[in-house]
Amino acid sequence: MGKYAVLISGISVESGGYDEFWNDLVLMREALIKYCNFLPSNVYVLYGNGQDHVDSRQSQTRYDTQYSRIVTLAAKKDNVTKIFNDLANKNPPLTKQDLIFIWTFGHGRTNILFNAYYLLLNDGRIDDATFSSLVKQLNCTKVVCMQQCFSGGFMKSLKSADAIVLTACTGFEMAFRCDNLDLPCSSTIENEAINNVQFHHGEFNYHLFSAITNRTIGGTNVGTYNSGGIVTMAGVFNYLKKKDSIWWGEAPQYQDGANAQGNNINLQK
Amino acid sequence: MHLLEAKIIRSLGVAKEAPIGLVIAAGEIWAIKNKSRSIEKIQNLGGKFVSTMEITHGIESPGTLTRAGSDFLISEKTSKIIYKLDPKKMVPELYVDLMKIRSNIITPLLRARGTSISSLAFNQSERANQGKLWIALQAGYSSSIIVLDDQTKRMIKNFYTRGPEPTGIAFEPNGKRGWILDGSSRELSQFDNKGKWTKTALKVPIEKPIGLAIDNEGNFLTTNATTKEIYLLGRNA
Repeated sequence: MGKYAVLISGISVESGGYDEFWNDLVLMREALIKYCNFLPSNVYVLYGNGQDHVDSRQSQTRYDTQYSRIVTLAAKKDNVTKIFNDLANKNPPLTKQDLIFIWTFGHGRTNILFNAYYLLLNDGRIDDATFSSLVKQLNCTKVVCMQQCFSGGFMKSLKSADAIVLTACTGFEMAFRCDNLDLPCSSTIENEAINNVQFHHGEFNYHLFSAITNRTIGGTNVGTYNSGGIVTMAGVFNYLKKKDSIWWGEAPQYQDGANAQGNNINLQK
Repeated sequence: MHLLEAKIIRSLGVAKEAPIGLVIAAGEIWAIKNKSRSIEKIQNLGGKFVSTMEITHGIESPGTLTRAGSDFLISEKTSKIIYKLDPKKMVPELYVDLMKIRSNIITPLLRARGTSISSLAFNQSERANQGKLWIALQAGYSSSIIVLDDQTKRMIKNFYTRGPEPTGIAFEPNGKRGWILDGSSRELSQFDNKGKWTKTALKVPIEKPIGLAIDNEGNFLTTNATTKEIYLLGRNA
């Protein structure tokens, strides 16, 4: 079984102002390679203008990649298309035994009728129908996780028997930054402070990382793994839905096709 | 982005209730408070609230404020409505209902739960009757600034903020540059009057900053929502 990943953070920190557009990209890559045995060469990272985010304030933290660059390509429309087309035309071809993990972040939009949804990229935007057609051409199991605003709007077009989709919110909602709150209502540290610098995260991403790796970003065990050392994607969603404390603004969404295969799919093995 | 740290010049005192919005106009500092439903003038030295105007009717839950000429513009916290208030009459008039704006980008934000008007700044042009109202919308990762023409109430610009909690927006005295305060990132980001970021930003050494006004010297006024203390900040670290 081959495991592949496409991680897309469409907007750079410099242009968007949100440091988590980089932080969470680094964390998702770390979760896949360190805790789920993805080969680094199989993890394609598309970010902003194609350059790793370098900021002296993140020096010597896990977000500092200046000595081991991680970005594969700029998060441009042509590159997104190319990565998915290359995977679809792989030789030997992908099979049902293979798995691809797709993760998106940055800004998301919809239109006045709420019938088209967009992920903003470095050079424009990609709509849900185009994105879904790129994903659906892959003949393997697909796990799609989306943190951007209105991401639930992608559910309908992504729907297929072999796709498990998790989103931060519905198609009518925005997505939010971590609020440093644990439900029911106690304060906790989600946005880390290192050397007096805040490292922010998306609320959905923070709990997604915890569920997939069985530990918080800070390293505290969260007990998502079963005795076999895995967590299914259904288990991941149940955990993050329970932990998402922005109940007043975002409702994480989940779909796993007619066969409920999210109960059988995990990223660890 | 060129990031420096703003420095606390002095405290103006602790308020009984943290003001949601601050504005400086004609040398006077005004604050708006939600629970006490009042607009209050703050004495520059000592932080005393020296003049109180109660909003007795018309605006159910006062949000933030700015000043347009002699009038106040006040947002309503639970709706997306902005009222005009003549301090001599104290009878709010409808200024604009944002829900009536139709835009592919902004309308979905206004309709989504969790969106609120978090700050206002009126920027009067050198030409008479050419003012623009800059509205900060707090909407998670879609938090945005909307710019309305004062005369037509039409949206002439919108752009994303650089943080998810734009708790303050204010213009420098000459009106050419403005600043947005983000309460979550605790940063001030500068933009020009066309809505372009200038790449100048300041870290704010306050735990939970809310509200923003700029005095004639270019110093910032903001409140720590946790301690209710009002601060004057300088931009030179």
